[in-house]
Amino acid sequence: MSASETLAQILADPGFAPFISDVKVFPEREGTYAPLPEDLDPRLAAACRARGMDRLYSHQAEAYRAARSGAHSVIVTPTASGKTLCYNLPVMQTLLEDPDGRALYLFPTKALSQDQQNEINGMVGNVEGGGPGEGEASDEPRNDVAPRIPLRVCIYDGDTPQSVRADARDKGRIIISNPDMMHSGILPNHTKWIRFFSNLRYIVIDEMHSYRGIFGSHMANLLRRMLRVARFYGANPTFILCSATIGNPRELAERLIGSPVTLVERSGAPSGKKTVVLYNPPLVDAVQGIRRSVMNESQRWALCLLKANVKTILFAHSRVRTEVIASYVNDSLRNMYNNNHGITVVPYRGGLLPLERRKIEKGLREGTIQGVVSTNALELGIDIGGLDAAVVAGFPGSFSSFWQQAGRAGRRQTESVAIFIASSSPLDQFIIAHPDYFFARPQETAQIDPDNPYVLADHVKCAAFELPFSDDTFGSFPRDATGEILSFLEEDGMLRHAAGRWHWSDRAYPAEAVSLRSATTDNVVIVDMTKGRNIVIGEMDRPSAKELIFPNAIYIHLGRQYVVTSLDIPNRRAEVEESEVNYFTDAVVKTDITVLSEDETVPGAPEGTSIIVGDLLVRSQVTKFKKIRFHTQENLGFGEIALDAEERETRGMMLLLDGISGGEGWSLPEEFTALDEAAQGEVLSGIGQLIKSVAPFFLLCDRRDIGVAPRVRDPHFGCPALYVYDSAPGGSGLSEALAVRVAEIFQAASERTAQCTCDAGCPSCIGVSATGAEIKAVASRIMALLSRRVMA
Amino acid sequence: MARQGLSGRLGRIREAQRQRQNADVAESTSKSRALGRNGKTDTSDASRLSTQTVADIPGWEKAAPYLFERRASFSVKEFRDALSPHLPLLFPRERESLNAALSAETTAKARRSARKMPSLAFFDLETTGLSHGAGTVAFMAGVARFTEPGTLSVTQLLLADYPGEPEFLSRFAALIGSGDALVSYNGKCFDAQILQTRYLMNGMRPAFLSPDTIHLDLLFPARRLWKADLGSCRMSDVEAGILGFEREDDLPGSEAPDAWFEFLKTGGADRLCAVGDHNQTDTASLARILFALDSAIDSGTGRAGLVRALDLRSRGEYERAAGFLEPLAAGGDMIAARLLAIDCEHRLGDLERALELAQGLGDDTRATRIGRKLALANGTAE
Repeated sequence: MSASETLAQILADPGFAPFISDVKVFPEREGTYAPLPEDLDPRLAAACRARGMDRLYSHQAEAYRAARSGAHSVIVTPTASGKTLCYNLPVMQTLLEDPDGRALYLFPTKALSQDQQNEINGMVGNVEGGGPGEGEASDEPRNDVAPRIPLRVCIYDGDTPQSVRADARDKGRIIISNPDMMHSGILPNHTKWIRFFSNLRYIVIDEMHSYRGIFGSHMANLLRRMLRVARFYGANPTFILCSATIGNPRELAERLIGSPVTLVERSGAPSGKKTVVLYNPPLVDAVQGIRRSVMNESQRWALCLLKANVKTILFAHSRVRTEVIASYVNDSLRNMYNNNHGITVVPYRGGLLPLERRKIEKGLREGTIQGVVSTNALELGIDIGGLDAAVVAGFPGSFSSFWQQAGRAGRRQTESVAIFIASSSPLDQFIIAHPDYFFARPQETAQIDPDNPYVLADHVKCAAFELPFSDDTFGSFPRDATGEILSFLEEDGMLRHAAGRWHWSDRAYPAEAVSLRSATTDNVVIVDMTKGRNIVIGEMDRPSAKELIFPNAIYIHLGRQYVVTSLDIPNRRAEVEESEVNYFTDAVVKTDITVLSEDETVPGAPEGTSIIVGDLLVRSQVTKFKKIRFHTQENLGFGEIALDAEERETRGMMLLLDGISGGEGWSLPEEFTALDEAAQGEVLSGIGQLIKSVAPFFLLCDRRDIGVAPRVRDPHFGCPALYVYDSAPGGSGLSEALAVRVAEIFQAASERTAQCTCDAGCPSCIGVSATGAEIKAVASRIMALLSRRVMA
Repeated sequence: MARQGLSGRLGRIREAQRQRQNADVAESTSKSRALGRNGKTDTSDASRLSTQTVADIPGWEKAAPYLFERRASFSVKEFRDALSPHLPLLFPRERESLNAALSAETTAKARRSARKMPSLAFFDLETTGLSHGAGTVAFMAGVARFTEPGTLSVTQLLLADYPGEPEFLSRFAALIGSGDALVSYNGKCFDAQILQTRYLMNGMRPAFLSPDTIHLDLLFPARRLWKADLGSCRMSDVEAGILGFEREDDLPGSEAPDAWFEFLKTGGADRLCAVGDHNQTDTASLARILFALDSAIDSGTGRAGLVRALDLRSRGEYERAAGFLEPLAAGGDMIAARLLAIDCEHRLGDLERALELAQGLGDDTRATRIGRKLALANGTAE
């Protein structure tokens, strides 16, 4: 049976068919080509031809020209469009021309570095046969023997043995590393890298879209530090950035590197036929808007595909869900007579040990594993070979992410299918209701805030260690703020100001205390104490630990359940023991907010309201947790949590329903003012839920990156207020971006409640904590007013 | 949207952090600590004053605006007129170049009898931290040379503040000179790396940093010869265990960075002077330890005997090697006993001694085999 027949059969299955809300087929697309560049070294041309590339895709040629001209460039490419060649070709050409030249490749994770080294080694002929070529321009690779290209490619990361490090530093022409290694290993010891930095011609930043939020803000500062060091050695490297499709690639690239860039975005790669299926699980309770769970439904799809011999990847959102779904699938396949149908399905997520990950990646490539349930960890370009189907369990939070995940199926230009399973969340239901909008791919923008005060202060400290700042040169660091941070550091005795320069004056090594992955460094290790094993099985940042591994929480790792026996915050240690229970746990978080500053009143706020962007102090406390039964999702009861509050300063957007500035007699609707305070609170919280849920439509962020706090009688402003704030300490640019796009966000939120068919509020509109027909009606009325006013 | 008032936020965040810290301090200790904290902020004002005029440091002479220097002579009782020709055995990596240097000195000796030694420069640094990173600075250096046989002259440099670093470094390079052998303790892994970084950061390329310079790091041979007896081979352990002297009122090296920072901030030089003495003793000890190593390898006593024996064996001189191995084997050194057993059995034909040694080692296979050989030899003799 052919792939299309199999698919047609599954789509007609009465168990699925009635609930498929839309099917869209993207036909095969021809590629656009360009000849190999004329100035290309014959050895490189031969290597390309040997790998079956007689010509380039048009975007590869365009990227080559841009990079060779010395301009910084950003390349936006869909999955499987031969993006590595976009930077490998110009970099290798330049390094062949300049025998001292060096290049740096940065990947967000170590796993990706491994993959890239194989790829490049295949290209330069260091490896017999080489790695599998991504996106060959012709289907039949030829067996011509290409001459070896004399470029040494070295990985330099935390896993590189000491014995080969010196050699990599001196002789590596292309160094593959990651931001964390750059930050704590390479930059503070730049004097060992003199040859490298003096001759640095290119810096390649792949998977640029992953540098957003706090990580991106750190990255921007890391690049400021890197450029300072490069300039110290007289180098002025050219940047080549690559990104998945996002709404503002140029803006993000420019904020990251602090210079203008050329944008290359028209892909010339052909693509195979792809079917995208939108599936809305059946309603089990129309009144409450409850649908069959995404976990169960996605698992059913995956099973059906796997049994039809279709290699499948299932994307779930959380680590817990990957574990739960993988175990559901394996349970359903369990059959001792046919060795579980010969099908192996594994979970893949962050927090696995590197060796466990490598094993899974290899299994997928070699075909010993047929199915994988993954978090977005596999969304990035790790080579896992060709899969035929992708099941996306719930909207992954962004279109960019969705298309990356869908692109995981059919990387080799074969026919493929992607199935989106909608959850009850407002965003998912919005997609089901607006398939055209969905397929038109409105693109979200990625935000970073290079001037987040926490992040900036950390990097100024590291930069001062690397090279003394002088009074008049701050490189690309912001002048005033940097000056101020320097004087603070001097007051603390970490720096000494003498003869116009700021010298590091402390015995500590500052990079050690700064983690790029969070605004503050703090990890809790998770130790398995079952039968005195005392084995570390994972790590988690401190604020998350308080919400996820509080005492008596259920922690799931590799499909095994553990109960947390203790969480020792001062010693950053959580102890867990294996257990068998039929529920998982979910913490209830309470937040307090203090307004620290009102920096800017956003123009164009709906009449009768004000929108202010400013600084907030957010105090959050977990007080209790829910026990939720597997499969049925019933609430089995509550437990207490006794942990200290987490306090952080951040940026927020404050929506004030003051009703006084309206010229045309706007005031809060009577329906609202007539409600008692508790109900008013529920209305505000419902509006908050709506905004939080639709915001990821416009901004590249996760629901969890946004915090919402309603205040019926706000003590600071003296009127009803809704706080929408950035979860990251110090802010990552989200609040500002929210304020800019407030009109679009209000409109989408208003449409969502207006179209929701539930009676009294449901997870698809105003959420479950606010319920009641009246509440929903008032919330949608206010939302409608807001969106109309803002439009006018 | 432009961020407004970033600097206002910085100040506020800092204030909040300070309050939290103060709260912690108030909780954990008495109020007097909190006062001390205030005292600390006052001193930063004092530091600004002291930047303008660097205070005098007792016993040190101001050589440049930010550079102090002092000199002292020591008589080194371990001094020997010439280095042992066997010394290179202790420095496998420098062996060839050191051999060449030593023999060159002999010919030079013929011409200029005044110089009996290769010109050695002993050096030791005090730094602001233990990491090799670009932010670690050397603030004190001791350089020692023999001016006359047995008289060691130690010159010390002290950086009074960061702007003096180029001066400090060029003076240091002048003291070291070029073409000499450097001698240090753990200097290969640490001090030399720091110097590389410091010169590079200041855009200087002194001759002595060339890879051709001989650098004798005494830590490795000291470990090789004395680790078994001393356990730890920190410099103070070698002084106490081998040179037979204990330091009095020595400031631990780990306190050196804080002593310098304190001097920068307050101008108070008491602890810094103690660091100066510590560094002076360290530098002088380098010469003593070198001669202790030299005399040990020359006489071949203790573990050094094994080094000598291995060298002789590699050149096929088993009889002479046995001369070093015998006392060691008698003293219970298992390795020496095994080597000697092998040599007695196979090269020296002393089967009786070989049997004795094999039995002592509990090596039954060897003992049985030798027994058989002995019986055979006795049989044919009869």
